Amino acid sequence: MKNKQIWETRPLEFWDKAKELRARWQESSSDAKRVLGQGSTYDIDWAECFPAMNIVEDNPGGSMIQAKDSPYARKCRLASEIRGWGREICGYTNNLWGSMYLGYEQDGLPFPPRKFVVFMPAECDQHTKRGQQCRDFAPVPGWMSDCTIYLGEDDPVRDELFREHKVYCNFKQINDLERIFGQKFDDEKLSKMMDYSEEVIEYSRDIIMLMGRTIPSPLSVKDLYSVYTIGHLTKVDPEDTVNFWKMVRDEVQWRADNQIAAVGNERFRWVEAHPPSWHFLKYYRYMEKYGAVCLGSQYTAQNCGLLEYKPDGGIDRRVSMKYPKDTPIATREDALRMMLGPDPREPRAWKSDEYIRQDSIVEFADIMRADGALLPLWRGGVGCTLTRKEQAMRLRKAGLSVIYYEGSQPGDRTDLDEQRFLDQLDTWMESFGYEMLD
Amino acid sequence: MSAEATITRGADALGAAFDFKSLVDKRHDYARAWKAKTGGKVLGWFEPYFPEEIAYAAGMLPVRILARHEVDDISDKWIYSSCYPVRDMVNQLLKGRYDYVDGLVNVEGCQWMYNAFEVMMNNRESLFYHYLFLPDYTNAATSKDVAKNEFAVLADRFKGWTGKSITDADLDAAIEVYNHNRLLLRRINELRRADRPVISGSEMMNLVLADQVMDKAEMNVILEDFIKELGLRKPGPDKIRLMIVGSETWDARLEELVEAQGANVVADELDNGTSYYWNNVLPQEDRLMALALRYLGRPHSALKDNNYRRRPQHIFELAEDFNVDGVLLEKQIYCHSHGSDMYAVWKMLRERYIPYHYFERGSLLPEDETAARLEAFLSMLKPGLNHLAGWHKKFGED
Amino acid sequence: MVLQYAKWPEIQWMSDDAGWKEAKTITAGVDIGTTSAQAAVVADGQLAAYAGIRAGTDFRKTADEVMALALGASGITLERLSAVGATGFGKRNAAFATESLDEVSCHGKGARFIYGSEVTTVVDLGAQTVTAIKLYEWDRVWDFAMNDICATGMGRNIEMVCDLLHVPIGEIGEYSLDLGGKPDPEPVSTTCYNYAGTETMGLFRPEFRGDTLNGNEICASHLFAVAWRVLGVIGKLQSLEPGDIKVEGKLGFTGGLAHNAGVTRRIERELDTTALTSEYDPMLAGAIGAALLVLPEAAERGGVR
Repeated sequence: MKNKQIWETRPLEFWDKAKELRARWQESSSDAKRVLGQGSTYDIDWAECFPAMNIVEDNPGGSMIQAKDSPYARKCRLASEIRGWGREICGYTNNLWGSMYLGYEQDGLPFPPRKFVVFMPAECDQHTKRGQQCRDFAPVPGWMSDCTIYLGEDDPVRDELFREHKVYCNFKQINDLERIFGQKFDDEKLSKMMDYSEEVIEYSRDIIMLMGRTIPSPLSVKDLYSVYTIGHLTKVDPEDTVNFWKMVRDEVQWRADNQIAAVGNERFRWVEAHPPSWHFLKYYRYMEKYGAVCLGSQYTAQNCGLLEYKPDGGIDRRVSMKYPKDTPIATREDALRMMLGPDPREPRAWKSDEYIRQDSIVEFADIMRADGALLPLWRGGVGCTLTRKEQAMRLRKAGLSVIYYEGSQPGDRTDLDEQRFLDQLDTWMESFGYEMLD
Repeated sequence: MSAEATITRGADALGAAFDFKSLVDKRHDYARAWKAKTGGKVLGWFEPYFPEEIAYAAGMLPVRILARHEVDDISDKWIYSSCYPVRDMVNQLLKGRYDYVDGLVNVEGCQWMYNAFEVMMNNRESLFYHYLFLPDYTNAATSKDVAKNEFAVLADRFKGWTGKSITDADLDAAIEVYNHNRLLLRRINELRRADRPVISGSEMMNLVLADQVMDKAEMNVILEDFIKELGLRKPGPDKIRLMIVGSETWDARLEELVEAQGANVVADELDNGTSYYWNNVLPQEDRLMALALRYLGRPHSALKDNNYRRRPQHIFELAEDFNVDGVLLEKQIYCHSHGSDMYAVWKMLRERYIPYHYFERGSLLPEDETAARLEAFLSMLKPGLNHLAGWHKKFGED
Repeated sequence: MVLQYAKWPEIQWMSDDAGWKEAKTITAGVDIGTTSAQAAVVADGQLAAYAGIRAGTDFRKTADEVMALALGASGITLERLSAVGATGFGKRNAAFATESLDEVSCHGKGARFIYGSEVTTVVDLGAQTVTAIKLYEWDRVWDFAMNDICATGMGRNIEMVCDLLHVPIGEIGEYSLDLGGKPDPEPVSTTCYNYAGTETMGLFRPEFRGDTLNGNEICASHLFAVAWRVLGVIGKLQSLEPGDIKVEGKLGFTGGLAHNAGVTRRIERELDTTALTSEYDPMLAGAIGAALLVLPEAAERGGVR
């Protein structure tokens, strides 16, 4: 069954703005005047409230190294391998900290040592250890928190203890940072940050809704990934972030209204799980030749807090439990309590789903009107692979066609046989009788 | 030996040999017999931070789910895990090797283990399941309160399941049995510090594994007798002294291979080894808090050794106290938790000039390859080891 | 007969100076590997004869054959030998050996014989194992590292690729280096020889990529992957201080893959060093080392067995 162009396609207009913001992030990340620390988003949304501090993530650094410069990434991984880490270590970690072990970055400049580290609390074991790498390397102060989770019904007592544990951990982090580095924390900005992030979530919700509910989809995940991290992993000015996501939402809305397609010959829609191999995003374009469009994964939808069917049959984002807007904030602890929210299991809902809402991937695929699922099996990414086989069974039961591919980890090209991967995709599409577009 | 015989108390059941390996091999028969005799529930547990005392206080037999290799033709459908032991566990559980287990408990720890736990939740719905959150940040001021409450939740769930409340007296009795057990294991372990230990590394490992699948009160009687027997044993020959550090091991094959090369494992830092019994519960009025402090304060496993590290120093102290000549750093292939820690451990060992050999293994040891490594490592260590030249004789120990 | 590209030439040599047969202490060493076996005869510390053959599945027969080939027509019998050291994966099958020795010591000792006292880092590139050895000046092993599971990615992988591409094993290395000035392509994703065939076929596929590799580049892609795995082993011997991978002192390769410039040059390039060369075949290191390690005691016994 040959395939022809059906819908109009157009280049995206938000590219230029995205490039500009990205460049600005790059510039601010290498601002030597600010105290450089290692940290991760989520619980440390407060990071923005330390104007003189530059708290960077080990990702997207790790995946960018692989995507931009494979020989250098390989060197980084070798540097970490010979210092004790094997292929079980997540590629992001291996790349970034391998760079530390080499002592220089991609451009040859010295690796900037971190002055402190805030570990990332996460379900993923590799994330839990994130940050320890630079503490093992050199004695810098470090702080932790926990990704609290339990199974079963809500338990108010557990919730409160978990929440207060996390409030305490965050509180201690901020106080200690002030004490050690003498930098002032902007308490007022914290509440403002919460409002900004709420706005971004709303726009993200609209974008994912438009991708999922419109045929043809106005935006593929390939395009979304180009801007995906802006405001999250690649932090820029909060107001700019909000404006940017509004711009993206408006454009996607316009495309949906006018049937401008991401893939002009769309006839197959698929979803994924977890990040793709960042160095080999070509496969999205390869699939487009079959008229197949990827609508992302629960991972890509996390920015909006995931979509779900509501009791009235409508679809909307799953709303994290929040304290009422008018809850009085008298102290820093109160603000942190507001930031963390009342449900200690919620923050990384899409990951928690693997523990407590295992069917949610099926709901997601259904909302996105997917015909199939392509699931990665990452050997060196325990958090990226947990429960994947069971997810496949659930999706198949729901009538989707599911295939896997195997590799090391999204930030590590080792073990991913690209040619074989494409062969698998050919077979998959041929099983539906699809041929490539002329 | 019949299943019935295996649960006979004390040394009589084992004969003079104290065959702990056989106890491990017959653990399923043992648990079934225990169940038939007591009518109690058997609870399987996955992760090393499980507070067994609470299950014991509830009248259960807590047994550790041990990875045992057998042909695995079933787990692949359910789990993509690059960790062999976890796949072994899923394979055994799905095949009904643990059909006597009434419930399974998982503690926050390795995610592959969690995945195995989840597969079982989805496959054997009739069992009792509980996931216990124990903070990865073990040392925060609030961690102990979280842990204590998690233990209270567990006790409450047990009550809902068995219909029996756990009283303070129950907890006290359980803590006493477990503390005594750990004390006995420590006593036996101390004997490995001798220049010529009366217990081999493989015997010790089998003993600790057996300890994790048996009723502790019963095991305590065996251990008391075993200690008496050890007192009668003549010191073994002077051998190269090794220590094993790394991923959990599930049998004593590595120790046996070391022994086949004429050396001995005298120390370990393994979750299935010394870390299992290293510290005791220090009783206090608030029993659950006492338990929380014990588990948060035990020698950390790799996944819980976060922020300011404790493992390297603990490993060093063991190496020094047990006078080891070299360290075998074994890591299960794709074991991310121990993989993450290797740099810190290597660094400490190198700074302190403790020779080590690092290698990867599956749940089965590649025997010829491991033997080749061991042979080379031992011949690297051997020259210049003065204790091998009869150092102990200077102290008249012989 | 089907041409087997993976076959490398077997060797046999004996000293022209027949005087060695009169030596007081004659020792021998055999190195029975998974795909090759070598034997060396040492007379009062001088190399007198050697042989190297492809190993069959019957290690015992292989051991007998290679030893017999090394002794050749010299008239020296096994009984005349003062001592025989056996090493390698199949060493237990050398029934005639008087001593069993570990591979690391043998390769270290043999490398010192082959490359002289300068060599401090020895890298044994075997068919299924890679071992990096750091030596003290006095021949003692300082430290060593071996490859991880699974090891089938080394020599055996290259044999597989040679047969698949119809490239003689003695030439694959040179082909892989002849890229017309282009840099190395990305290495193949796996060095598992079970998958070598699948991936190689994929590299020829013309669709989509626009970056289909030619024959030489495919060889390069494979040998690059092997070299990289070897680097992971070599580097484990270096200090944990920040910096690029490096070796301290001089580097010497032993084992079959030492003949493969496509692997060794890539390793040298990354380590920014040039490995030592020798008139002796580096495949003999294990056997020579075994013969030398059993020598002192045999000499002390006055050459008596």
